[in-house]
Amino acid sequence: MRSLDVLDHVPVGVFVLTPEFKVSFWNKVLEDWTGIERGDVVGQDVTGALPHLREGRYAGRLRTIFEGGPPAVFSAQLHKHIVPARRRSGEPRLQHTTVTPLRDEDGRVSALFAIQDVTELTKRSRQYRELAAKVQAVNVELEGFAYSVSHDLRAPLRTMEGFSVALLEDYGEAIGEQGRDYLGRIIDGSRRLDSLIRDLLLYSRLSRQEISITNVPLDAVVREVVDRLRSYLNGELGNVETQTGLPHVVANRLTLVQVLTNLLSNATKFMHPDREPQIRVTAERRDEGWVRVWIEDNGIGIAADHQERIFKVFERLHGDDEFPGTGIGLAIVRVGMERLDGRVGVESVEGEGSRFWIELREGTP
Amino acid sequence: MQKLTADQTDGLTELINIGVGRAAGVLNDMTESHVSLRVPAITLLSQDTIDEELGDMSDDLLASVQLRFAGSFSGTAALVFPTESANKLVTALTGDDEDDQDLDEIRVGTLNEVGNIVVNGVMGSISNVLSEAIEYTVPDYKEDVIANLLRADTAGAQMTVLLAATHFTIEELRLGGEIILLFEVGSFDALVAALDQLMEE
Repeated sequence: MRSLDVLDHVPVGVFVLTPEFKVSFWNKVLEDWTGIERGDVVGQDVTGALPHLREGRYAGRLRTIFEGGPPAVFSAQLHKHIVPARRRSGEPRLQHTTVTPLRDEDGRVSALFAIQDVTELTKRSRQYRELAAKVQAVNVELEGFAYSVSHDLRAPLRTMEGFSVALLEDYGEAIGEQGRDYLGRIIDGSRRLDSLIRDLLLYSRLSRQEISITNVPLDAVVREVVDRLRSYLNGELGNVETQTGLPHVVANRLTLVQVLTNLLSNATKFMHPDREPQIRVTAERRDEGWVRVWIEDNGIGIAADHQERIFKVFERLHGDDEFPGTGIGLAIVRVGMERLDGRVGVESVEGEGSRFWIELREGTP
Repeated sequence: MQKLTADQTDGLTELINIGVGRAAGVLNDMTESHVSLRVPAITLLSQDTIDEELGDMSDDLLASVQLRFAGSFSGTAALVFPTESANKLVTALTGDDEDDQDLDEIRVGTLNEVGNIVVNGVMGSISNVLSEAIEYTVPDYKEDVIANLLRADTAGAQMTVLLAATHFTIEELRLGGEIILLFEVGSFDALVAALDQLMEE
């Protein structure tokens, strides 16, 4: 079979077996793998080089091939090898083999064995598996750590805050103005630390916890977020204009609520001192099934060179006395959008306002 | 869409059971676990009803081994599993004791072989009742949702879809998969005609 000589130049072990179980072709790769020269094996019965192919588990399936049936696959896990061969390092070559019928001019069908060396692939898969197991273990540990942080750190914090408030109420008169000022600062500090811990927990939970992705009506979610914020801010939300007829998107509802809550509360927080706050929520269809949701405000805006770092944890552009916050809000938005397989970004001119956007796949109503 | 008589449905179901039975025999020879395969019933669908019928698994990621056949008898034969079942199947057959593994390249190779054995078993019994030679492609492994798995093979053509719910029993483990046979125009009729003739004889 001269035409098969081209198979000397492919990085795959190839040999051909006739219905009489004689080897009729043996490529150079196999010479290299086994040390068996083509001349020593071609024309010979396979029993010499590969006796196991006569066993029922192989012979039965090969018979189907000789009858012109569909190709057969012999995988590395179930067979280890078709051709016993070792690498130079001494380790056995693991093989994945596909056997296809090969018809000659007279209609006689032989079996063409194409053998891939999957030793490296197997090794890498194993390494990946070990690594995945380690990551899993670290995640479990982190989860435990996050729980301890929430429970153990917040409990004494509440004690500090609670007793400071009690002290202020019961003995406020006795400790004088400076004493009351000190207590006020302790209470503020405790509350700030508490919201910081809560945000950190939210961030870490959002990064790891399993979420289910479904079709979510954007209209209802935006309405829910705006109503909730309005009641939380006692109506001081400013003028929020929401486009009607927003489409459905592919998302996890709770995560999307969290993302939009953070973006909208940012829009209400960074207000310009000289302007009546205006917030707009709109959506537009983009290419390839994406929907972009805009959250626009006319607040203080963000300088161009800060627009990337605001999405990182603890990145704050303003002091706490100017605009209170934990510095985690936009990091939660970023990680939330990553979990939703979406995108997030911002366009902003300092002093004029910001246009934050998120992109999600359009869903079906 | 063509309707089958009760006898034709029974005949086709038996034909597929002969095929999966042979496949179970091959799997038993190869592995140390006792494997049995059974197809209790088949369903015939047109392309319009397939989404409805497979609605339960429409969003799930599925593992599939597909074999295309061509010539005067043409279409696609596939074994399809939810990826979780596919993973359990590989663990049971290989005796891998690590749970919770991903379907990595090596395990995909194993699944490809198992799918190949099952699909070949079924195609073997189909080709036995047909008197013509069938050309096959090399089996292909794909992971996707059902609509995408079938779309590439059904685009533009009006296919008949035969769905065979397949029960795998490996020692104590019971798993369900689907054998899906897509027949191009005329091919399914040819199979039913050949089957009718066989039943008359």
